[in-house]
Amino acid sequence: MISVKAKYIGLNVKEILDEEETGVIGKPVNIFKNTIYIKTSGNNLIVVTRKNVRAPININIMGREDFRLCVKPFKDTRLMDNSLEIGNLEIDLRNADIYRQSLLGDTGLHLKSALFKMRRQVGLALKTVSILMYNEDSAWLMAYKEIRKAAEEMFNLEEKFNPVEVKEILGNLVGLGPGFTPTGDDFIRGFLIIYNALSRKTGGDVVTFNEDFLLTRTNWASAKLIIHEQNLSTDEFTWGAVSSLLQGNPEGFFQWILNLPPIGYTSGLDKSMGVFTAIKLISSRLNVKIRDLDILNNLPG
Amino acid sequence: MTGLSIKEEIEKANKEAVERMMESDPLWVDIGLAKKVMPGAKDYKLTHAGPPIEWGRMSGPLRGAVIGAALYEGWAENPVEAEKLAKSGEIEFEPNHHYNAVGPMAGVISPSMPVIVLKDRKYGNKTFSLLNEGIGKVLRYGAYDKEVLDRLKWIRDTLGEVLSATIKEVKKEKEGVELKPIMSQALHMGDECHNRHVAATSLFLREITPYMMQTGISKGSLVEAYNFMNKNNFTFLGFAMAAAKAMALAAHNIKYSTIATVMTRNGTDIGIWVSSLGNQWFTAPAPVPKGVWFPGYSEKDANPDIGDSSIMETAGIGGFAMAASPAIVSWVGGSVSFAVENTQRMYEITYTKHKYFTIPYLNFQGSPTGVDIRKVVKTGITPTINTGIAHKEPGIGQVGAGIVTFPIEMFKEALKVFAERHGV
Repeated sequence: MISVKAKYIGLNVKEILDEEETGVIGKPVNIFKNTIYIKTSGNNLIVVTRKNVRAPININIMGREDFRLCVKPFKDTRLMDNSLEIGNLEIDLRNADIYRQSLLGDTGLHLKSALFKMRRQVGLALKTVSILMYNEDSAWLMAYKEIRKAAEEMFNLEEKFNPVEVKEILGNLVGLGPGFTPTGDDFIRGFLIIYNALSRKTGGDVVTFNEDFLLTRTNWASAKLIIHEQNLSTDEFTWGAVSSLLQGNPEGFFQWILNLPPIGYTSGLDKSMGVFTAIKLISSRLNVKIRDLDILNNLPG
Repeated sequence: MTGLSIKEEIEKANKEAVERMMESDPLWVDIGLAKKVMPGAKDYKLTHAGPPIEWGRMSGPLRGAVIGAALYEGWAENPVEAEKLAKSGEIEFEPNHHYNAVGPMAGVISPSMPVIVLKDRKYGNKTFSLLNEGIGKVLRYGAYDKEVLDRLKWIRDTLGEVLSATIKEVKKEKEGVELKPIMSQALHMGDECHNRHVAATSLFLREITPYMMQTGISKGSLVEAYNFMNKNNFTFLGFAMAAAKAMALAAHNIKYSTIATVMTRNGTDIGIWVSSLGNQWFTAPAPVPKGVWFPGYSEKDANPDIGDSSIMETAGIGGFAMAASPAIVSWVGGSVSFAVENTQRMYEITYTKHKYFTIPYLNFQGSPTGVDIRKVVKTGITPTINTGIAHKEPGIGQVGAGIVTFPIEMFKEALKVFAERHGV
């Protein structure tokens, strides 16, 4: 048994574990070198990761173990008094800090004013991120082509806040492209966190997908991630970008958004393109002109 | 624009930049007092390691080196006077890199210090560095007592003179001493060419000793000079740093290139230059290294990282070539497997593998060369380098050696300015 210590436990995970009795609580469904995705018996997702990014659904652990060597898929995950056992991996949960995602409080700033304050930096952040999209692999290029098409359709909508039409266009991207979390899913996640956060601020309708629909097109873990994101539960980097946007803090937005690229192979980059697309759509709806926010020409291919 | 997309432009530029970095051919051609051989060096001006900094923000070791340099130059009678002078603004401070110079640790170059002059035979640039004083209580670590100052004067009057006569002898036969072959060979003999120069120093002495003996300088001076260099495993460091500076300089100012051409620290800030962004500094607070401590010292004594010596990693060796140097871990800490892992991790943020600097343990793969700021920001992996550790107070000196990982913020900022300047 390899013992490691949890550094942070996301609030969502804590609530799930608090409700569970000791014993078998689920199974690991996907295992990577640094990350394990666990499906609980209550159909919840818990992500165990060695990476430094915190999230409500994450357990961040210390240590250098390659999870593939100590955990086998679909073996029982057991909750013990002070620990979680996944195969030959024992995670000590004592002394871990709880990560709580901050609330979207009232910043005292009207959304239009916040976006106006961001008008220069957002475009520059897009340019900066797009320089990092140097992967010209054909599998990704095909996905970006579809994303570009979807973005163009959304920009051409007469009612840019119409959630039904937005949802229909986005729905075509679910499961699109390569990756454990497909490129299309990552784009949707970035899009929904911004779109729904800003919509809530303006009293507009949010866009949500149900799990059954998502599961017809993508894998369970990726579907769960989309559901969390549409409900405004995300990693701390994306949340930092959302908060900075609502506060009209361009430098904060830039710093947070540039924390995303290291996530996954292209997941962080794809997610950030979703973020920029949603900002463009909503700012255009509010008649705020964001300089140089040219999504269509900044996608590869 | 040439009709190429920005990504194609970057690719083309980076290829050219690293090609120039690898093809640079630095030769040791001269040595002399800074005010005579290094453009810009003059009285009441000190150049130093790292990005620009004023006296008020200088770290202990840099202040110590400034005080020592002022005493060495005779600008002050004692440390109190020297400090007062430095504080008064009468001494001009500027980074070494502004003059194509590099100095280890505090890296302070004063006008009467002998500096090594290198010429890049391929691209014509000249670069400059200091002779190495040894380890422990030395000026570059911020020490400035009589022992330190006496050694500096001996370096000027004896070692400098011997080496000056030696290089004149060398030049009767050839253009200068080729340094790249020495570095390349040393990597095959267990050096990583930043914190370990055992092999390189031996190879260098083997190269120059015959010429030293022909100089006609008194036997006493020759023996003193030889013994000093022979006993100091860091003798080659100054030559290696000036060589690495020549390599990085050859890659500088290539339009659209995202390759870092300077990475350096002054004990307070850490700073980089990016090829296509000219001499614009991107800085962040310097981190404290993790290290192996000299007896009686610990992390609480350590100053944040300092020195231009990370020019070695900028040119693709040093910490980037740790896999070539298993013995280095006894000096900087970590394990042999860490040394290998570090080299492998650096491949993820560099543009290419060096043509001439190869690593036997990795089946003679080239060392990771050309830090690409795009890859740093994309992967979140930042350069990890080997370094010496200075005491945080002036006047004490070296307290250990270790490893330091650069912060990512300056790479992000540089990428932002790149996007702003070059657009997409």
